[in-house]
Amino acid sequence: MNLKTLIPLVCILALIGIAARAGEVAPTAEQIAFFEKDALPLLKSACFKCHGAEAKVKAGLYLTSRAGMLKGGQGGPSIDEKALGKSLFLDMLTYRDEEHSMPPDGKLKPEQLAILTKWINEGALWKPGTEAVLPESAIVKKEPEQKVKTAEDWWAYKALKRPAVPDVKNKAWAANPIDSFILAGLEKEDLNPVAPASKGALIRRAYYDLTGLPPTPAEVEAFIANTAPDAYEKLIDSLLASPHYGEKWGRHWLDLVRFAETNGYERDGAKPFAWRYRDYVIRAFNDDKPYDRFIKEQIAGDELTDATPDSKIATGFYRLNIWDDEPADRKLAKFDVLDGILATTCQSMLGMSMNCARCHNHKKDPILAKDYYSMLAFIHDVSDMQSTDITVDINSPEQLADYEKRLHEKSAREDDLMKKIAAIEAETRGAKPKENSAAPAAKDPPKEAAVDPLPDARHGPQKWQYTLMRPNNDEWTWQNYNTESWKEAPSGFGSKGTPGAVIGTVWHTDNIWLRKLITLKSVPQNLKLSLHHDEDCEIYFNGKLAAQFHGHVSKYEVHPLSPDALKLLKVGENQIAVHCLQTTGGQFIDMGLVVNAAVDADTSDDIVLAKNGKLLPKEKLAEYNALKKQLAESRKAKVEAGGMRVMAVFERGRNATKILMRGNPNLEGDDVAPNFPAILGFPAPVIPKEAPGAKTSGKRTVLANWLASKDNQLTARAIANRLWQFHFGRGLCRTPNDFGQLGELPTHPELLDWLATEFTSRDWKMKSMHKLIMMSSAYRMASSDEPKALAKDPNNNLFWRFDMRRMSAEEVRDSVLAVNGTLNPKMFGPSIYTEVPKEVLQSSSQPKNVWGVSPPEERTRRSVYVLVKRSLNEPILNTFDQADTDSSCPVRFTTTVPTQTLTSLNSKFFNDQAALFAERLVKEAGANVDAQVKLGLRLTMCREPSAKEIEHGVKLIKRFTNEDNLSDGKALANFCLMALNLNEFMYLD
Amino acid sequence: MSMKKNQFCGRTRREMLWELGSGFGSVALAGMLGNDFFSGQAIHAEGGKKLLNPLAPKAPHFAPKAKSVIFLFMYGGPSHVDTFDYKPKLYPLDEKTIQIKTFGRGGKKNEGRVIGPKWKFKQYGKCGKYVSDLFPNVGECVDDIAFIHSMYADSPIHGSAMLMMNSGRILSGHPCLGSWATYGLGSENQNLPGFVVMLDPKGGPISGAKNWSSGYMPATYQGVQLRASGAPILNLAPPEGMSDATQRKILESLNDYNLEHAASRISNSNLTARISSFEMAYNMQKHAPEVVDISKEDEKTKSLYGIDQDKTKDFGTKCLLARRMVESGVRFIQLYSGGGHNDENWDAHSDVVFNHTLHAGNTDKPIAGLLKDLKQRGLLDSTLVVWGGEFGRQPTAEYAKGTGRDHNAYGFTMWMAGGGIKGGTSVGATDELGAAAVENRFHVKNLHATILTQLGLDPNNLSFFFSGLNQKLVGVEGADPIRQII
Repeated sequence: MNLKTLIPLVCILALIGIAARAGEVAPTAEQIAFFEKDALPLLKSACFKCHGAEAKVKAGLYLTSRAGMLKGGQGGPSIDEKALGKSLFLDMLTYRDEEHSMPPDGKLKPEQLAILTKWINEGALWKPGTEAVLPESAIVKKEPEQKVKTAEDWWAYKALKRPAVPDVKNKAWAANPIDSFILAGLEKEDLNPVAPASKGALIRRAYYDLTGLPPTPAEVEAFIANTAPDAYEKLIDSLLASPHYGEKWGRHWLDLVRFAETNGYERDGAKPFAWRYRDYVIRAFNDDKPYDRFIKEQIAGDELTDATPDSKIATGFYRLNIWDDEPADRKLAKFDVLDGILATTCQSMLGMSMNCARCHNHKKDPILAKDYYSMLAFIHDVSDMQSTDITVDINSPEQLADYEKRLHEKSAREDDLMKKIAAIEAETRGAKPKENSAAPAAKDPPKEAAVDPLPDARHGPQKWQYTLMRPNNDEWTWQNYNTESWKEAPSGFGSKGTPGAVIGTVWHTDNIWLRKLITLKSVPQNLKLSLHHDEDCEIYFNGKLAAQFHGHVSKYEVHPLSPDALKLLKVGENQIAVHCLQTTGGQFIDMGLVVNAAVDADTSDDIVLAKNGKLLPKEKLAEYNALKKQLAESRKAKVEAGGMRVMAVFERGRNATKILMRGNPNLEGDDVAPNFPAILGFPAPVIPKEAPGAKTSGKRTVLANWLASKDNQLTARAIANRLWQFHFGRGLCRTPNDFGQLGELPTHPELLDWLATEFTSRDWKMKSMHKLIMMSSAYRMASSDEPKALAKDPNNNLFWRFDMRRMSAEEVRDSVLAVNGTLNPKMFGPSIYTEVPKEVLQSSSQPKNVWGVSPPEERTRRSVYVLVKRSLNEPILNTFDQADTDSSCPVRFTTTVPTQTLTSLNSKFFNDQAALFAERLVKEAGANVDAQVKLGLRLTMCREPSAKEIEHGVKLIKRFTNEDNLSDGKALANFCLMALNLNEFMYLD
Repeated sequence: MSMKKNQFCGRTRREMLWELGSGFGSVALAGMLGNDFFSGQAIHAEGGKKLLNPLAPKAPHFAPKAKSVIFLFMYGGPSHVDTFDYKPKLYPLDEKTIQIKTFGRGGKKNEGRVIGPKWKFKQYGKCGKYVSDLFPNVGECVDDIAFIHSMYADSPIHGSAMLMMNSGRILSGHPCLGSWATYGLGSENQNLPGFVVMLDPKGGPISGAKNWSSGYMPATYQGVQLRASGAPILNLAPPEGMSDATQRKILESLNDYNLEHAASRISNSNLTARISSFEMAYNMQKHAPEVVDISKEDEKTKSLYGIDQDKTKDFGTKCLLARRMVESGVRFIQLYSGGGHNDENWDAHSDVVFNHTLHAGNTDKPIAGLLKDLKQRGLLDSTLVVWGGEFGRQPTAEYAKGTGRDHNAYGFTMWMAGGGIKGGTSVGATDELGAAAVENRFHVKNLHATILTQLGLDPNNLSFFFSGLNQKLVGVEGADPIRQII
């Protein structure tokens, strides 16, 4: 449907005009009777419910009057007065596709259609005076009154200005400007901050906050004993320098970008090298990469003038989305993916719920559908996951040159060997050797014998299905594979100039996948392959590998099929599938299935070997065999690029972006150019002219520069709010992904702006901000109760104390491993598999293949390295509220349910770890039960336990041994299980 | 809170908690989820009320017809023309190639080779409903069943279609029907999960846990897998070798430490909520196995469900457990017939006779047994039973040979019984070959709206604020329930 003809919102004047004209048409009495008796009852029963009679009107279309039909809805006018028969109204009744299926509960009967067709064809005449009055809202489409008209009307859109630091009474408490802002709020309400946290509580808080791990008892002891005034500052410095810092803070970012390593849906296919993105994020935090650069790399790391391997890995950001490789509606699916990217970008980097404007203008915020599609225009060219290999080799120029040199050497070596082999073969036949690449083989077809089931291209091109895009899984070799996206073309496939090639279809990329369905009346046992390949190819019959060849040849060769390969064929339909890979030089692939053709005497080595080498002198035969062996070995040896394969962004084509009505890709509206949300008040961007041959359009760089600009009031506010959130447990604005009117107002807007400006003035460096925040008195408060403040401000909106928090899912698992001493601190690399109970694996449709096994020492690595698989949640992490990975997760939930408690009490993981914990206690504290309990509590509580607490634990162990007859080891393990369940272990002050 | 000798062991946990200033029950309910963000969400979602225990029973929007739902999910997509949608005109077309619009795994096609229905149909009940010979036992229950013959869905591909049937969207990440039900109504029995899923022994469905995920809602509302053998719920049983006495000691001691810890942090209700959760977990550990212990059911009942026969034993046991869970107040129970891939479920691509004989044979008796048993116990009125797959199957073959049918989301049949549903009725129709719904078409959203309505929830008002929107199961545009059957 072409919506260019769509009438924009019709103004009152135009409607008056229509009304006047409608009035001029005078229906005859017969027409009135027809309308009242036949047409109107049908309209009432089939249309009015959604289009005019009830409060909720769909698609803005009123069918309760002729004026309403002329005005039309989002799809355009219902009646085309110039061609009544072609009116959209009638087209919608046809049920010709999903977009034209009205009324939705079923197609009208032929006689009903006849009535409405007649009525429309006669001009859709109403009985004068009976038309429902078109509501005013339909005449001028009324948006709810927008309170926010300019950027100045809403806190988050206002230009960022540095607020003055307020004056406070309790100057001693105000260690830095942050405290002045907090204190000013408290003093206004006549409240006081609670006392500072104990040193023990503070070191534990700081450790978890910056590294997600507990301090060791020795570290706690040393910190408490250190009375130097800068002891705390030094502690923060050392934690910020710890490599574990990136593991903790990187995980926050991974929540925001919905990091996962699989696509979801039926196959839940792996995202190749997604872990490199995870490592990139961890490294970026550890290296204190400026946040503006961090954003730029993720949005446009491939386009930047100073692109690095790292910045290319960063663009894996575009590949983290859920992705249905087999969507019901491909067009819609493409926009679903783009929407996921845009929603995540805007929510995570801007705190803006842009996604609400995909189908219509934002209900509450001044964000129009036009704004949404203007923003979408920046990323519209991003290739979808299907359209291309989504990985790329990253190499230095030297590496690339070396790689090409080695490829060339290999090719030359093999050419030379083939020449020598051909010479011996020719000599055997007593003929002069032919030049390998001289005459095109097409002029020299082998002799015809019986009818070949599948002739090769020399006998005329055959139609094959092919694709250049890597199929998502092995099923492409199966007969019933969905080949909707494949093309059909004549064989052979390759680039011109490849020796011996007969080109039917030009192919000049790295990989090609081919399919052909053939019918066999019988399976001749003398069936052979006639094959020309440059380079490696695999041939499948009915989904199974039938033959495989390495390297390249320069002419067609005939190969006998192995008995196993013959068994794969059957009478009737057979699916033939071929994959060919080329790494350098020309490429070509073509195959035939031939019968009776003598094993190609012209090209094969059979003639040499057929008579047990009697045709050749012994030495010559040895030479021949050696040459063959060298060739085979050379062909098998892969030339590795030596670089690094990464998941990255690609662009495909240059797409014009249009507004899509109701988000429907079939309802295209006005064109839009890349632009920023109008309410923010930025001038329209100028997209630089593309350099000739540019791989990408450069639009993403413009977006990246805007996002990472100090002038962007949202970016700095959004990240400053998150910094606060991850230190204090909640953002200054409690809805960090939504700074709009549906979100919460910030409790301390001035402090937020102060932090945002402070952050940009510190060159967007996070570590110095962490230190600033953690050095404040506000951060160092205790988490204790204070009756007056509790009564006045139970939610701690004013920060009169520090809020307690439960450990995050990762912290729970990592801490269990840390206290029992088994945590493996190894960083980076491909993700690991933890031990997952059989019952959980059984919930997958592929229980045997859904999860892998990592070696024991790998299983105890930090949780940030556990594979994130969309269709299978790691049970321990899932139980403790890990982030959902399908959309940006701004805040983790903290749930407390019995099934969670059952996990920490009964699960194999907790019990195994408790047993290891007990072993550690025996090893480090010796046989003395008091000492064991003391150490166990020190490790879990991160403090010196009281005598009473120790005594209680000792008593528990004795009861296990005395009353339940448990061994000392078992008793201690049970005590350890208890300790790992302590609230004091799970919660931080 | 002191830990004087003799005192700790002499006291019950209940007394200790009373001393903390609140009764056990209220502590259990208060602050089970004291997360500021979620409280914020709840304010939006609940119209000003704060949500305390997310699973505490909540008042519905209006008087409910059904208290519980049992969703019998025939994973893979059963063929409607071979089961409940009688198409006499399809038989004579067997093996003929005709013009017909279809869309399945094999893409969009305009012609196909007809596979005539492979079973005979006959009339059952007072209503005279035609049911195929695949379901003779369910046939006996037709007077309690309302058939919806005109279902349609957005996708004919398993992955997205499963998500659609379970969460209303083809995009992953949204909460499932059972999550919405427990979010809206809470759970009647704190000793059992409110949303239970029982899978086929062959494995889970495609996308696994996504089919019972709570999406953007807290994990509190996700489905909990329950198994008929072994420990019914993951980690329900204490580890091997741990006696009840030992576990009680651990819990008592833990409680003591935790109370001491909480005493100076009295305003943090999360701590007390976690303390209570140990008691609740202990109760669940004790009571959940009772629900799956069918040893006390009489032989007649077991036989009614087909538990005495090999082929129906597995699904029959699950159906019986479903009834027992309904009796215990579980809100939403989903049973999967079929798991894994291809013929391990109803996905009959190559041989519909083999496939459907197997799966209908495994489920017919158990399903009929469930309906009859619920009825004789007076539970059917308050229990909504839903039957169907993620889509139906085409009237034509997928391959050149064989009797397999491809997927069909253009038209398929689902049925409901109990919970205020009008029995002995049929609504909607596919065309005369069963290729597409043509009369009174109902989208999956209408089915969801019907289920929520029967539970006393207004589908167009049950919302959860997320990603800048008041999200609903039935989407922003809303959907009406299927009024003809309620």
